[in-house]
Amino acid sequence: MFKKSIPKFIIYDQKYDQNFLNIDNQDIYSINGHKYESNYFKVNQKSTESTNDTVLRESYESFKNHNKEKIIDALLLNDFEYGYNSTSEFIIQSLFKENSIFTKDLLNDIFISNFDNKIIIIGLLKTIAHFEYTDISPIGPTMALAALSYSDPEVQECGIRAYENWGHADSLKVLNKIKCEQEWLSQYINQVIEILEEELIIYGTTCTKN
Amino acid sequence: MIKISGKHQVSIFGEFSDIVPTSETILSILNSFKGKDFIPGTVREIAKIGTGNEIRLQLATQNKEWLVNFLTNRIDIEKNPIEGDGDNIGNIQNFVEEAVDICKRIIKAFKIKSYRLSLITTGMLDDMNSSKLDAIYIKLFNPISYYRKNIPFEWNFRTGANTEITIKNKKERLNVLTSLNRIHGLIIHQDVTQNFDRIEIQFDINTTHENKNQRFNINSIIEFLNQAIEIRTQLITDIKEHINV
Repeated sequence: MFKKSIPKFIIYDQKYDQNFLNIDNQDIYSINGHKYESNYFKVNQKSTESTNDTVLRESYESFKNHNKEKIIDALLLNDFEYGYNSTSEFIIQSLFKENSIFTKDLLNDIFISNFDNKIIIIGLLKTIAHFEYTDISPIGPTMALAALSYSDPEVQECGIRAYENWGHADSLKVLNKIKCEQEWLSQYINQVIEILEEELIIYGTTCTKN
Repeated sequence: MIKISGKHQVSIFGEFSDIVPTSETILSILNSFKGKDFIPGTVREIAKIGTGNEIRLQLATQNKEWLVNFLTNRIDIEKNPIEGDGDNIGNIQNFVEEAVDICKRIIKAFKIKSYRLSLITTGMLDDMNSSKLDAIYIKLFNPISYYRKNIPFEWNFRTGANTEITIKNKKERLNVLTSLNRIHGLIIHQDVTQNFDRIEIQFDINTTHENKNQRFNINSIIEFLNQAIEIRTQLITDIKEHINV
């Protein structure tokens, strides 16, 4: 359905939004949404965007501008070795300490806009798999599940491996619900389920296997 | 008349606080959207920041041409311009057909109903010289003498009216809003920037907010959108005639 193209942005000189109808007292905006226009329902047709929203959006844009390329470059290094922290993990951990909300939004942004780049997607999945499940939720599990719709088996495997690594109780619930057509992937999922179930029986919980 | 197509959006309003980015929801949505190029992700709802419920589910195509935002009380289905002159937007009928297909998939996944519907479309009129832009201003505003002598470089002409349509054999009150705005800005496309001074046109057609009964199903959405397209077409014809473009 979609065609590849460089997005076209239109920037208004006006400092205020083009407002539409007042609907339901909600001011809604996605800080990581498309940057074309700012046509949203507002509390009052005469109202402008509230200062807080502007600050938040501008802060995120600044955060993104500073860090997006840095993360992508690190992911492209592809320096994932068992037992070692990768460059991307190091960078993302440090950004998490700076601003975990913006970092998650940025990872979501990178994941979607680079969905056709296998190296970046695999890098992201390997990196987020090393975070605590609760820290990286909901964007981590969302990426891992989205990976299952990828055509490349290596990416699909990374999605499952992330769940395996998180070893969270939710992992078992999710893995049990995944239905896939490829036999090898089903077998792999079943293996992971068995391991996680075993851990549940022995330890009463699953354990993270970073 | 509309030279550059802008964002088009269909919104359905309801109680959607349960549609959050959990693994279960994602699996359900992936199943419903099989065969589509949507990637699940998240979006932050600013109005909900601090409530612990601000991270919402989003579906996006990789180029962000299509975005579906599952917010607490509304689901926005957007098509955004990504090509020169917004050519990718296509005609309104095709946009609505695609939006209806998306609505069907959402309803299949979450069994939702809604209490309010809207169709919003934006665009820019043909490029015009400043004397033509000024003449339109005079025609629309019949301005006071100061602004007749000093023609504004920027203006907003926004009109809202109520009307009624029939959905599921019941009368529904509509808000019909049209905005014509003279705006200045910069178009950036593939590293080439271009200044513009044009008239932006926006239509916002929506059922009014009073009735909060979750009464709209997929057939209601189709009925609403077909009638909203008719109203929009009528408005375009009227504007064209009135401002002579």
